[in-house]
Amino acid sequence: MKLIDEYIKTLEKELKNKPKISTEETGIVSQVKDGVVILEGLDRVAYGELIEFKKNVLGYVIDLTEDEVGAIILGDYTGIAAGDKAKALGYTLSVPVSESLLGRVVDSLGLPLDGKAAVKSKTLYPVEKIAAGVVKRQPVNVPLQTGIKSIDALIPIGRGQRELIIGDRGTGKTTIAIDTILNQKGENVICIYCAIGQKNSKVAAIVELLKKNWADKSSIFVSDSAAESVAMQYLAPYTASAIGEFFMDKGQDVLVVYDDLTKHAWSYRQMSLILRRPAGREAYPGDVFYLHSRLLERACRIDKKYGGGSITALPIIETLDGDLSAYIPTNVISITDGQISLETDLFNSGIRPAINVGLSVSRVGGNAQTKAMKAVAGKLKLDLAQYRDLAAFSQFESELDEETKKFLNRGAKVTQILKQKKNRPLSLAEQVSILWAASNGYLDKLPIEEIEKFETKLLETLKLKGKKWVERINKNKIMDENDGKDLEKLIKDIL
Amino acid sequence: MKINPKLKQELKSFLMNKIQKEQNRVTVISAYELSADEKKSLSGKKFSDLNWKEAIYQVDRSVIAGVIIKAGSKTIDLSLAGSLSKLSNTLYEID
Repeated sequence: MKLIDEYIKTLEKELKNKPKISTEETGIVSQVKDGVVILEGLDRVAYGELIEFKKNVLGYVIDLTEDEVGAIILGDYTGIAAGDKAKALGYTLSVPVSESLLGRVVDSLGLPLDGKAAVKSKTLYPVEKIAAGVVKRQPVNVPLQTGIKSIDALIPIGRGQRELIIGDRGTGKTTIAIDTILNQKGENVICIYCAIGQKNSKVAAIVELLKKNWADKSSIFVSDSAAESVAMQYLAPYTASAIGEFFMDKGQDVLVVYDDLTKHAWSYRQMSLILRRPAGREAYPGDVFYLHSRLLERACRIDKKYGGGSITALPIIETLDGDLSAYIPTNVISITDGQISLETDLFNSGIRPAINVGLSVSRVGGNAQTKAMKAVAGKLKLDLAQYRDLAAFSQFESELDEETKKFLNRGAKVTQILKQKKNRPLSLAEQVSILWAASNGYLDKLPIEEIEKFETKLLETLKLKGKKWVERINKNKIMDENDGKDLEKLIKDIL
Repeated sequence: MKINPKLKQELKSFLMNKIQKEQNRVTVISAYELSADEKKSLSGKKFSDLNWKEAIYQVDRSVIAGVIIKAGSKTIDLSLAGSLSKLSNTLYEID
């Protein structure tokens, strides 16, 4: 009965409004292609405007030629036939945004995918938006802790940075991103995971994992799986960015993971080829660079004067055979502020996360690294660099001098200590304690097999005896001489 | 190639005239042949931003009742069919 009442109320409202005489911009469908429709008429339609077909199916204008209009269909395009009427709506695509999005799974139009009620919101954010300008920005200076030792120590990421995660399939790209989201628990960072052309089962597993770790309350999932039309896949990252901007404008810090932009480029390529745009290298259209640059440029850190807030972007790119010089990887590498490069060989030899420290950089994150981490990481970097240089040629030499042996031993231990189990992010104090032990030579005499045991023991001891030390480091983010002495005592107890 | 400027001017004014005529002309679609009275009451009337003088009359049964006025891609829908489709959209949205 309630539903009928609601029906009648809305209808009465509709009928009370006197019919307005207004002109509409209309056109006729002339061609229907895979997810793309070509229309005639619509002389005064604008780029990016929404078009309404019958049965409330929406289209989005992305191609304007002399006498035709190309639009991508948002949703089911199978019901549209040549000769159908279409009406321009006069506004651009926007998504509903609100706090109630937290913990939800939505598609690129903001419609729920988790079987719960529709997202209710009066605020709409445009899907396509020009990024914040120079005046509004502030350099990156606050760290975004990933909870992964090797990243926080060697390739630190700051809030507002764009750090690319690149590697072959099955090298743990998504795992790094998800671990980072897990580590934001209690950090007051809104996490948005945007799945583009992924398997639905994978997205479901990630949602489940975050729920298990109570991290879903501050996370939003934007998903357009491989089963959706390419138009929806194309829009997904822009929608995720729009949702992120809503929270950023409220002064909050946001982390957006785009998983992955290779598939996004594929979907754009398919659309462009159907629209008969000239194909360039690898059959991508000419504006495929702009496709990603305008997306990633929206990641920024806003100056306090303008409300603060930030969007950190972690785009993911999948390479083939470790080829970083392919078209899309080079594009995105040049757009982002650094990359984390993952390798199959390292992964298979048991070094996980399989980060190639030599190829990975963070161009701006160094300014944001905490003092405590900086104190231990500097020495660590040097140890690793020397190890890499020596390890290559020491394989041919049978007899090595003491000094070289020492470097090799230290390097092997440091490499070992940088390994980390997945979904087990560590706090700043935990990371600092382990890395401090390694760079100060406490592990030099331990055999490699014992290092993992040492790490577990150290973490246990920190929990039991070093609670105050952990709290101090996590709070002040500084490690002074006294802290070093206290830690030394704890480590000596274990050894 | 040099073109006589007078010829150029004449061609231009001819084309402009033609475009003007085209702009002043609309298509009126109705469910049945409109009577002379009905045509008279419609002609020259200003609907929102559409200004017209001439009209071509067409018959399309699917309009059911009322008229649809078209000028290029601009459309004014005053038909029963249009109202019904709006109503069905409203019903769909309540769901």
